[in-house]
Amino acid sequence: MNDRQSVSRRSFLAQASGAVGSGWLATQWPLFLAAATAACQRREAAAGFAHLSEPLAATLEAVAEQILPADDTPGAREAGVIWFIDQLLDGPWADMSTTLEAGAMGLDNRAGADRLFIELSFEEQTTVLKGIENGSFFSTMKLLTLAGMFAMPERGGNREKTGWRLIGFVDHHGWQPPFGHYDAAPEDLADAGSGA
Amino acid sequence: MTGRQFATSEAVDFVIVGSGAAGGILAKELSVAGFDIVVLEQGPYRRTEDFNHDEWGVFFENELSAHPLWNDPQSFRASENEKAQPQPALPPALYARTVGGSSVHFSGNYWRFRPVDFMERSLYGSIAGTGFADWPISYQELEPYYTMVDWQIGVSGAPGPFDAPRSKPYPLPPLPIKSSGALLEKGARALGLHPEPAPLAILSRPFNGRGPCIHCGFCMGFGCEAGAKSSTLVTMIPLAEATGRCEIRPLSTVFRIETDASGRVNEVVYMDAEGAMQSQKARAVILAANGAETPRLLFLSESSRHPDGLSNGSGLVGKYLMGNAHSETSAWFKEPLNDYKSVQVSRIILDFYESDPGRGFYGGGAIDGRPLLDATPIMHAAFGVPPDVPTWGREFKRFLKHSFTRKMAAFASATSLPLESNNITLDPELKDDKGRAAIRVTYRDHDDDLAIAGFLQQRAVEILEAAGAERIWAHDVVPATLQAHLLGTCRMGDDPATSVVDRYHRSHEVPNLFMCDGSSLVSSGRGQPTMTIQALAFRAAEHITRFARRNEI
Repeated sequence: MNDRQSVSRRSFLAQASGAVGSGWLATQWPLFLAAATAACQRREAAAGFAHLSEPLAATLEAVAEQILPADDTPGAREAGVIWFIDQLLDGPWADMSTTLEAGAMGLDNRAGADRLFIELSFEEQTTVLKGIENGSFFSTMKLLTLAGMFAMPERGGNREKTGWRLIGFVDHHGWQPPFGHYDAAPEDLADAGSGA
Repeated sequence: MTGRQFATSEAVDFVIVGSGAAGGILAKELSVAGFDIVVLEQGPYRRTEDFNHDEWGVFFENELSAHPLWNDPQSFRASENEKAQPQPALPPALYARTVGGSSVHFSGNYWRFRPVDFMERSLYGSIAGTGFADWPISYQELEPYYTMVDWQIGVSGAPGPFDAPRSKPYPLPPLPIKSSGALLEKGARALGLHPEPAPLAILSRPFNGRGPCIHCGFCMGFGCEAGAKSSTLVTMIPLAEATGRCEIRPLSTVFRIETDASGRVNEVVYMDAEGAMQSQKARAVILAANGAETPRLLFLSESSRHPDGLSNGSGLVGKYLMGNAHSETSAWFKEPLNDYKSVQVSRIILDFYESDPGRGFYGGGAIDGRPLLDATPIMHAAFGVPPDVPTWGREFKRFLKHSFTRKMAAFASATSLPLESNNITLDPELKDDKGRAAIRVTYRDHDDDLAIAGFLQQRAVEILEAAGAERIWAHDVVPATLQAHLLGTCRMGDDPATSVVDRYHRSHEVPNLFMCDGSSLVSSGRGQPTMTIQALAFRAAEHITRFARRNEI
């Protein structure tokens, strides 16, 4: 079984299309939001995951941390990305867990005979992931990590708006002009940049 | 709430299928004129207070565009020689399923077509292999209805240097300029072009009992939490319901339109919110279901009398699908633009609107400045990365930190030529999970469509350079596989052999059946069709009212 075939049709196509999501997903927003909010509560209470096993969660969290690592700002682990992923494995996205389990198992196989992926150094993990970065497991993890970092915190990740603070997104409910540098002071337009 | 409920056994004056840009207007105009109306809408009845800023739900779970109760997949192929493949990730014909239709999730770019759009075939001659044609009506004929859109729907804007003649000014001033607009304007002026405030169906001031835009930024793709986006949900539908003669029936998915022995339509079969089959009797039916769903319903309504689909004697139902060509050019600037705030577009360049035979191909279009998909954090992180930046790891994270507030796009929207080989048909195998044949989209842009998109991209690069961008990258212009503008599939015309509806949107074959939505368009305009779809709907409603009062339906 190759990696592609093992992936659920939905998560594979969400990646392969270069597009997003699942067009024919029967979404019941309040239901999901309730599940997501429950994930936040479990996260804050340091309770267990609703869907992920502890070992699987540890592996996926390590992968997420590789995608968005902590440096001078928090990374995926501190942002609680894994809690976003956990809440997502409910309802319509449940079949994605097969992809994640198979992918995590593949990482442990690649880690060597005597070690698990999570026991590798950060640099060793990076090397292993570079070997699978074009596969669908890693593509799925990239999307889930970005979503867990940047989706609204009520979805389970983006703890204390970690992701939003990283990129400078401020979630005020409304704004008034000026919005940015170049509409604030049109006379400064000469400073727009060094030229292309 | 709904002011009136009709029994399905009671023949109402009109059943309107679809409550979107056109259907909402038809419902309001015809109910105000005194007719009894049932509107069948396949989506749920979401209200302003139901909309949210949940980017994952809207963009990744397609909350507004997926059917909330069942799977309704679509398939896609680039040519009729291929087998179409199901497209679960995103439907190739993209539209919102909700009361108000795609006017709920659109960006509200509201330019009028110009006089030239209605007569290009006469001006430029035929284009081999295409269905390039004049409209049966002129801009002058449509102008009063554009003005009705301005004033009844609520359009913000300012006079521009290329405006077609207009009988009344904009009711509202333009929305405030954004940094993307200021930079587009700077670059354009340096090149001798004429940027202007973008006309938008979004309120800049309080209007008709609605509050103005709060510049929250969750605009394209989202429902408006402020009710400031001028969807038919907040403009027309409340007025229709207030007449006491219009029932909006959400979560009602139409299966077919039945005809009687005389060949007139007499009832509409649909599945209701509880999953039960219903049949609403009607004296006349108007399909305003969009340029993909309207032809689908005509095909689904085939019968021994209409073996190729209802109203398809011309064989043109579903054909001449046009989607508007696009190109995208991204740029970074030194200082933060914060283009995630407010509406998508604040400035637009219309200098290249008209086709210029000197370019060697047909086409014209516009360039605007906007965040495009970088207006929200996940989309930016997932799709906003230039090709030479890693897509994970420390460098990627540094990129995200710098880029989100500093990026903009110059986005070009252009013409699309009508080709018989671009069309909506029923997929012979794929079905929704209630058994209706799925929409099959067959589409490849004409080479001229790609040429004009590429031409506008070259101009966009020059504009961004002149604006002083630190970095510019052009996204490849490739044939489109996804359309949000669904145009031309039941085209309007005087000749029943070369069109599906007449100049009043009446079927050439079924006297009490009308089609009025994007499917009616004969040519594509330059990229922003909703205002024209709505002008057509106001005009259709006036003529349909006249016919009904004279017993001519």
